[in-house]
This record gives sequence, structure tokens and C-alpha cells, in this order.
Amino acid sequence: MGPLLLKVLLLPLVGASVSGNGRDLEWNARNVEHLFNRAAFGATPSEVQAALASTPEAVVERLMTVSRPLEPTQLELIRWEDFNLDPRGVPVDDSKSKYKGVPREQVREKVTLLRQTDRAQFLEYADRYFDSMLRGDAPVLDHAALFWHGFFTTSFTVVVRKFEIIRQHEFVRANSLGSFRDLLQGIVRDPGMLQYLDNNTNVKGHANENLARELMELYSLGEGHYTEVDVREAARALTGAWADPEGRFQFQTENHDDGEKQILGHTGKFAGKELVDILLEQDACPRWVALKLLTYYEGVPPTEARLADYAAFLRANDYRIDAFLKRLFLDPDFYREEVLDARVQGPIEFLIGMCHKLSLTPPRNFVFAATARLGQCFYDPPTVKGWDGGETWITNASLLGRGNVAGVLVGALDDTAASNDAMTAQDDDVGASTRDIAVAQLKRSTHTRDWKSTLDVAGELARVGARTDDQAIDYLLSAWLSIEPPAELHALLAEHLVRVREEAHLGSRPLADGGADVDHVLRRLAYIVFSLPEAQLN
Amino acid sequence: MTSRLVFDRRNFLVGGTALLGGCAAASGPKPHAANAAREIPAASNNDDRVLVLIELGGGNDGLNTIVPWADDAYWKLRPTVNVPKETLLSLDDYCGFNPLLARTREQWNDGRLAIVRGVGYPKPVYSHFKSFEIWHTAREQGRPSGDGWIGRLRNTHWKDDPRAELVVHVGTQVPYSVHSSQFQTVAYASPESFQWAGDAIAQRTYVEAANAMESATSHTGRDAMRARLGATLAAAQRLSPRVLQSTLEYQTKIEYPTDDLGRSLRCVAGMIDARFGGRVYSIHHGNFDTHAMQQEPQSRLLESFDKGLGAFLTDLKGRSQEPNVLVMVISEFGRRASENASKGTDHGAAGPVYFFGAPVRGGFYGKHPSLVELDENANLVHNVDFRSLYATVLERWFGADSLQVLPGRYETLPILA
Repeated sequence: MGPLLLKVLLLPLVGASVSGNGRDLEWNARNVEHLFNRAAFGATPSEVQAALASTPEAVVERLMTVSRPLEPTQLELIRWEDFNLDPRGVPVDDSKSKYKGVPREQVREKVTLLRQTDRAQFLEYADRYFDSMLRGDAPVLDHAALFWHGFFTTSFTVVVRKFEIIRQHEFVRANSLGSFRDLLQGIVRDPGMLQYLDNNTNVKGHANENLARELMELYSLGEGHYTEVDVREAARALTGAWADPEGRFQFQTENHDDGEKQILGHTGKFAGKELVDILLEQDACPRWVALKLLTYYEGVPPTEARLADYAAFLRANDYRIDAFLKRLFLDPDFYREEVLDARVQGPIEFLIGMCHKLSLTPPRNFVFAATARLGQCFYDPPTVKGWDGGETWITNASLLGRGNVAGVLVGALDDTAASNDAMTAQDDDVGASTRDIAVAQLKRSTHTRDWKSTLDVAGELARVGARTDDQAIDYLLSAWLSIEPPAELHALLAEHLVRVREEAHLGSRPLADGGADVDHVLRRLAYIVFSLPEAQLN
Repeated sequence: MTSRLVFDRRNFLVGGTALLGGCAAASGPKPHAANAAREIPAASNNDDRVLVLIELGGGNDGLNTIVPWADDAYWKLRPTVNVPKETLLSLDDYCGFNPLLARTREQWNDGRLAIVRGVGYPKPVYSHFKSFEIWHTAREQGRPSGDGWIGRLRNTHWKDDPRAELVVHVGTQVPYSVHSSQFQTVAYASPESFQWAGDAIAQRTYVEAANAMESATSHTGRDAMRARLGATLAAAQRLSPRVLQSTLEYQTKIEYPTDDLGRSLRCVAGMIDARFGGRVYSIHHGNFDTHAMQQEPQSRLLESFDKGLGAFLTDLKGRSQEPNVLVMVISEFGRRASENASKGTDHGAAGPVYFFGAPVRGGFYGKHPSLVELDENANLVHNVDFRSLYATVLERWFGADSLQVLPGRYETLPILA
């Protein structure tokens, strides 16, 4: 047996416990990891150790603390007319263009340049957000912001300029652990949302119901808790709420229908704020929010009793999300068997969690590009409902894709011709194998062509004293997977290593001793493990 | 305008009873008692049938694709963004093909192209994203939700066959139309990408892991989820070599263009030839959003379309699957009737939909939209709801009950022979 850490890992671990709902929260390694999985972006073995030495309350408190705020963004506001667009995103006629008289080629170049700036700003912002996740600067906040991004969706395919998108995310993230009241009030005044759901065309006498409908169906009540008349009347209340060309909210009195409206049993000359107040008063509203939060964090829909309990809590606590999550994270029922290890991670969670576990720093724009390939393009959800999530993240293609992205991250795919010649070769290059082409395409699209993985598994095995293959597999499965490793997987990898040792003539040399040949073996092992269904779960 | 005679060219040529069908279609929607549902062949006959669904993304300008040269209004609406009359490939005494559609015109001459004119939906939406949502889900106005129409076809009619390969999308942008909350699809950007890149020794472990899990007996919580994901992994491992083989090793004498559409169509041809098992093959051909200086980009796109699809149809010719392949070409909207000041056209409403293939009864369907009586946004007014065409495909091609898939009963058109 090796040094302390491995010993500790292989022992049943129990720390303090918290009681609640008549049961105690058992503070063991599995539950600690579960908390980190769901509240943050997974845990390393040493994080689990440290947490076990502390109390659940203290750990939750620390995860909920923002240790380093996101750097403020200096955004260049590119004006619509500079894009040669009107505020609806429609190209303007030459006669009205600010580029009137400028040769067409020059205009095109200028607009293309601005588009690149626009996109670069967005990618830079996304990286800062992902970096915060990777460093663990504000784990619960950043994870909650990811949840809210799926809840209040907006897409850059509709909101053409990224300025409003970035500002929306800043707003949502800042309020992710605040009161849902502020989130909902803010989102109906959010310029990105107003554009996304057509509220700029929602004017007195010509109501556009898009925002009103989603506000009720997706953002506050859920289907069945309002009528078509409520939608129509709510749309009237939202008339005049406008996203101005400067990317700011503006209330246009002249376009607002200031007549009386009847909404959900209330009558009055309502505008957006009063409408949202009415929605927040409905019993359906805390239930809707609690349903979405519980389903996301637990990975299974709640029972009626659990939903009612948490909805009541949310309402009694002025919709405070921090209070809600704190209660959930310390609730022994959050650690029930049905919930543990049975949730499919979204692509962003998967990649951030993997980098965190392996101490890898991916290159710029990698997380955005890779997760877009895997079905979760940041700010481009498939529909206004966001992502269905859960099991639907996994398709035959996305499962193959997740594995290959992991393979690039652990440096297991650098050994092909693809890493060199095929990189520049065309897709139909005769010399390259289809595998080389696939790897070249993947690296090109994820900005990893000139990137080298710093993964050092042998070093870690040496550090924890894993000398035999069995010990190595035990340690690595425990460190790499977010779930409790299934026994049959251990056996499978043991057989794999037997074959590999033979192939590479490794004899009985401990993997912890390292070397180029062992390094290759371990990278390939990581590639296999992160490609398996077990690695998609948490 | 409205009195313009719209003959179904092919039916006109073949005469007889077919003429009635053509005229009935051309004279616009009318109730039909002895309708399509009765004509549906037995379901087993439909199992081999394939729909190739091509989207022209961005909104193709129908008026410069099938050009209504004989209409004075066209020249008034399009003083500069027009296709000169002398260059057109003749079609009839009202319109002609854009000159870049030579192969498309051959299909027309062979009676293998049905053009449905003036297709759209009520209260047009001018956002690409939202208009596509409507086309993809086939839902009424309001928020489109739920599965795509092809997805619902699977959920309701093909639910006994859960294999992912029933619906295939080739290309990056998977359209929501194929989305099913119950069944997976096979979707790949490039065929090469549909593989796990591990070497042989890693592959062996990878496959063993999937097989081990698939047979997991436990069915609660984590292990139930593992078993289901394991099944997906096993399916991916089963499909991967089939995708690679059927596409990359496909042998054909026909030369396809090397652009995205050409490559995608070549993949589809290969998969059909290899009897991959797809019943729907979807392709998205983008960039038709021609707001400024439209002539050059639209020409390029139409040429790409014509060459790509031309190669595909030629390739298919004489193959045993030929009678089983129907190609449908849609776009999320047409373009504004009048050109804009940037020598382009803005987002519009109604536009044509095309059906290609041996099973097609060639000719015109639907009335050409008036170029004079436009809607309040100066757009062409649709005569045929796109859901009629979906109903046609569902009932007359797949033998399905369109009511289970679409939000209502829509009249079918006799576009199939």
C-alpha cells in the first residue's frame, strides 16, 4: 500500500453529519462529491478530502462565496447603422445607409471587420465566464448562471449584435443567486430579451404576444396556469418596452397601451412591472421555479410533496435562490439513492468538470467551440425553450464527439499523422486516413491545433503511491469519474492494461514510474474512460 | 393575373385523366371527398420509401428562380434584380427557369419535377429562426413547440422501429424538423467525424465497455441510466462503420460537385445505395439570404443546387431504389416582391416548393401568387399552406395519417404518380 492519500481514499470515509427531515446527512466521500458535482463543477480527490475534514455547512458556504468577481467588461458598442442594419436587423437601403457613396467593397470589408470585433468580444466574454468556472472563483454562482441561461434563453441568431447578449448574461449571472423577483423584473426590461421575443414590435394597437406568452409559459407559471386572454392582456401591458439602438431599455410612452387590462383576475392600467408583480403573486410561480430548479439539480422531477415544500420555502423567502439552494444542498434527501450519480452532465459541465479534475487549462475559445459541437452552443439554444437537457444531451454522435473532445484534451490524439501533415491537408486528402481527417477537423474547429495537453497521470500516480495496476485503476476511476466507479469497469480496464502492457512491452513496470511509453498508455486510458457513459454522469 | 391559366405541363402532355388531377391542383384548394387517404398503398409498400428533404436556408428568392417573365409587374418590381428574359430556360408562356438551372430543367422536361407555387403560411414571420421553427414544427402561429414534424411522424407511425438510422441529417445544422424526443437520429457534419478516434487496442476496450453495460440487469437510478447510455454507445459503435463505409467508400461514376451540398448529396446517394436504412435524409443548404447585390450570390447558390441535385438524380437513375426516392426542396420564406435599394431583396413570404424524382408527377401545382395584389408588407400572398405539402408527403408517400402529425387536416396535392 502506498502513502496516505491512497489509503485514505480506499477507506470508508465518514465525517460530520447534519440532520434534517428526520434523517441525517451522512458526510461521506460519495456525498461530498455529489455536492461538488451538482453545486459546482465536480471535485478532485484532494477537494473531497479537505471537505470531509470540514462541515457540510462550511463547505456549502464556501462554494457559495464569490472569491473573485468577474472582471468588468469594456464593450465596444457597435451601432446598428455601422453594420448597415436597421434596429430590426434588416439591411438598410443604400439611400439611407451611413456608407452612402462608399464603394461597396469597402463597406463589405468594414462590416466584416465589425462582425469580427462583435464576435471576438463575445468569445472573450464567454472565456472569462468559463475561466471563472475553471478556476472555481464562484462555483455555485457560475453553475446557477448556466441554469438560468437555459431558463431565460436568448439566441445570438436572433439578436444579431452581441452587445445585448453579453449584457444579458452579466445581468443574469449577477442575479443568479439573488431573488427570482429581480431576475423576472429585469428580464422583461432586458434589451436582448426584448429583441429576441419581438417586443420592439409590440406596440399599442398592434400587440405582439411573443414576450407575454413566454413570460407566462416558460418564465413564471407554466402551461395551464393562464388563459389566452391573459396572454393578450399581458402583451398590452408590455407594449412600449423597447430595446433602443444603444442597447438600453427604453419605455416608449407613445407606444404603450395605457388602458385598463385584466390579467389573472387583476384589473388595472398595468405595465411591465405590475404584470410581473401579478405573476410573482400566483401560486403557480414559486412552483414553476422550484420545479425547474429541483429537476435541474436533482436530475429527476420532484414528488408532489417535495415540490410543494420547496415552492412554499421559495415564496416564504422572497424567491431567494441562494436560500433555496443552500437548503437543498444541506437537505439529506438531496443525497438519496435515486439522485446520486444518475444525472447526465451538459456539455459545458462535462468539459469544465473534466478540466477541473485533470488540472487542464484549455486554449482560448475551446470551451465555446467544443460545447457548440456537442450540442450546447452558449447563447444559441435550439428553441426558445432552451435545451431539454438530461438524457437528451446524449446522442450517438454527441457521445462519440464527447469522447473525441476528451481525447484531444488529454493529448491522446496527438500521435497520428493528423497532428502534423493532415492538419493542413484538405478533408479529401488521399493520403490521410479517415481517422486522421476526423482528428484534424476536430482540432481545427476547437482551436487545439497548436495546443499541447499538460496531463501528467504518472506523476499523480507516483504522488498518491499507486504502484500496482489495480491501485492505479482504483485511484484513476475515483479521480476521473464523478460517480462511484462500477466494479465491472474496474475489471474491464484491468484487462485492457494487461493487453496494453503486452503490446508496449512494459513488463511489470509500475505506471507511476512514467516514461514516454507509459505516458501514451495513460493518455489513452483517460481517453477511454472519459468516452464512456460513466463519465457523462454525475 | 388571377385568371392566368396554369397548366400542369406534364399532365397536359400525357392528357387523359391525369389532366384533371393537374387542373384540380392548379385551381387551388378545394375539398376532396374521395381523397388521398383512400389511395394510400399498404404500409409495407412504404417501408422502402425515402424522403430527401433539402432546405434552402436564408430564404430563396423564388421570383428569380422560376422567373415570371411574362408578367409586366415582375419587371416593375425588379428593375435591376431580375433575370434577363433572353437568358431564361423556357418553361411555359408565363415563366422560365433561371439559366443556372439547366439540370433542373431537364428533370422538368422528363416530368420528374413538380413545382408548387406560392407556398407559405398565414401571418408570415420574417425572422429566419422563427420562420424555420414554424416550418420545422408545422405548428400554428404562436410559439412552435414540441417535436419536429418528422420527429412526430416517427413518434406516431414508426415507433416500432427505434433505430436511429431511420432519420439521417448530413451537415452541421441539424434542423428541428427531425427532432424527436423519443428517438435518436444519425447526424454528422462530415462522415469522418462520425467515429471514435481511438486506435485498435483502445477500440476493443471501448466496445467491450458498451457491451458490458448494455447487458446491465439493474434498472434503477444510476445503473438504469448507465444501461440506456450504454445502449446509445453501442448503437453509435454499430452505426459508425456503416456511416463511414456507405459514404466514404461509395463507388459511383457520377462526379458530384465538391462543395458542401455536393458532398452531402453524395453521402446520401451512398447511404441509399448501401441500404443504410434511412427513411428521411435531411440536408441544409444555406446562405440564400440575399439582401444586397443578390445576383452573384444567388446565381452561385442556384448553380451549386442545380449541379449537386442534378448529379444526385442522375446517379440515382436506373438504380433499383430510384422509384423509392422523393426529393422535397423547401425554404423558410421567399423574398420581398420588390427589390431593395441595395440591389437585393428582403425577407418575404410565399415561395415555391419543389419535388423531384421518379415518383413525381411533374408539372405546376398551386396558383402563381399575384405580383400585384400583395399583402400589407408588400409580400406575395401564399396560396398553398406548406402543411398541405407535408400532408401530401405523410399520406401519399409514407402512408401515414397526417392528422396525428400535423395540427389539423390539410388538403393533399396529387404530386405523386
